[in-house]
Amino acid sequence: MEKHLEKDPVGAYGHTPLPLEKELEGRVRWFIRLRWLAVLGIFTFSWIPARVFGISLPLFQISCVGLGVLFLNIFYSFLRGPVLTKEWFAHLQVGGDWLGLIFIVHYTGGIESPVLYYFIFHIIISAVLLPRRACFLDATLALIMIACLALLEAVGVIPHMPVKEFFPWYLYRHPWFILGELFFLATTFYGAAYLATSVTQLLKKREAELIVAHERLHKLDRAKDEFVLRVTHELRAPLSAIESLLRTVEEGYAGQVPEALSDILGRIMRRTGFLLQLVNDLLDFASGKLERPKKEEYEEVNMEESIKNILSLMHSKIEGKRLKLSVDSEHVTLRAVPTEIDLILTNLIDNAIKYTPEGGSVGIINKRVGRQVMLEVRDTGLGIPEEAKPRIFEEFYRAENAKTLEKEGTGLGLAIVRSLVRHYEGEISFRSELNKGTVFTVRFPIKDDSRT
Amino acid sequence: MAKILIVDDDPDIVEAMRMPLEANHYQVVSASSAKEGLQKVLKERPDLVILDVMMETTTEGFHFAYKLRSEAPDSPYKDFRKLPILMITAIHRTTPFRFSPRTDEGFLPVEGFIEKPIEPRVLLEKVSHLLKK
Repeated sequence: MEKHLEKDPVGAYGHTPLPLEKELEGRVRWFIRLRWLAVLGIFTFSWIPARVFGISLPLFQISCVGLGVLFLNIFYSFLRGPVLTKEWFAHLQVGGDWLGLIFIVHYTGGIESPVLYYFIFHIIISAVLLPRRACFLDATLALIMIACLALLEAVGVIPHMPVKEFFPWYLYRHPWFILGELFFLATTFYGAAYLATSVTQLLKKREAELIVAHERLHKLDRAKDEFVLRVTHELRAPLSAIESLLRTVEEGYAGQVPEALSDILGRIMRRTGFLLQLVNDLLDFASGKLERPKKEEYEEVNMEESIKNILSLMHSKIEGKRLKLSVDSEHVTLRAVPTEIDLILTNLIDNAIKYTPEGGSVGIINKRVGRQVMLEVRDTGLGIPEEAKPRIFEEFYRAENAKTLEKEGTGLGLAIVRSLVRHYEGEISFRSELNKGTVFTVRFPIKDDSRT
Repeated sequence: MAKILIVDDDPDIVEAMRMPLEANHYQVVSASSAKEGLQKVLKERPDLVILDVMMETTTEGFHFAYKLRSEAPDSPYKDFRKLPILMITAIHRTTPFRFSPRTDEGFLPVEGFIEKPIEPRVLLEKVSHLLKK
């Protein structure tokens, strides 16, 4: 059986904006992880050529640089929180890396060094982390450093340390070679900076647009819920009156009801009953999303007790269908609003009973698993058809086979459950096989702060 | 024969309650606002009040109950402080003030609750239970 975890593609219920900061932090951590690889590269690509192929490299100096980068990265990896996403921290990282890189360039032949290409990586990194201007600035700084190094080596202020096996000894003093090398480096750097920032800027712009669109959608969704709430409130009073009057007529208080009328009355009452149910569900749904209960309304809800209460209300339905009922319930408490927990339980258990044929079984498990309260409601019922699986939490959606068995259903039950479970930062998932049964699993996190 | 005062601004709900009550030989009088209800308490001297929580304003039912129960020595309703009240809670858990018998019973000076839509059988049970007390 495939497991389905409900997803919310537009985040219309999530109420949290896209976590830009979090994402940036993730990227920085990724760069820190990449740097371990770079350190490994420094050691392997100096020691192996030197020791295996006998290439003349100043191993001691290069290893010192490798150790320097290693220590810096150990320091970075201990940093936590908002400091990681600060612009100066990005500059610090890029600057530190370049210092290391320029030393390695120096020890592997200065302007002749093949390591020069590696500057590209950092131009891409700063394109991702920093605004476009800062990225170009970084590219320029890199070029200035390289040019200075080349010049100082050419005029003999600092020693030239060639890799004899790579280039003729005089190249580093050849002005055309230096100029040519610098020209192509400059165009490569700026080209890379331009291309990389173009892509990242486009992505950043899209991200910003997405946030705006998300907020707009959230507002619209709210407006819709407010409208639904108002309308259903208005519908409820006349419906209650109709239903109350019908009951008095049906019970004969307005005089003996002739048989033909009694039949019609029954039909009318079934339909008004459904309407009332719909209005109540809509109220639960819209208000559950709009108004959160006050703090005072939260209490330690004894799940075991709540399940017992709900089951006692459904006793006759279970008996009527001769369902085998098994309850495996632990004493666990959850900080919640009792009526909301009752709603979740009622909807899930009622569905299990409704969609299980006579003689089938319904099972409820309720226990604490680690830092979570787990609630499982399983049945041996209709099951959910494959094509309905992605949609069953949608408002008003009802699977075809559910409609055949139970003509009148509002299609709101699971939407209410999902919305409430979300308020408790829980998650709901299900597994189902057609004609075999369905298992709904709800997990609520237990929070320490809410227990006080 | 017990006299029952129904305070509700919805005449259809009043009617839906009047029919079964009268069929069971209760005498029924009604009022469509808290103000009228309080006047009728003095005039009709009922044995029980059935009170709608939400009338014109959402708190009208509460005001009625608090006025009737007022401990003020010069309260005009001091003879009726013990008059039992059955409160109609058509409201759902989603009213503007999220009132519910389950959580607020302690704060409400009423003896019982009944839900809308009214079920005649339940209504009669509650009424006879409260009158026996």
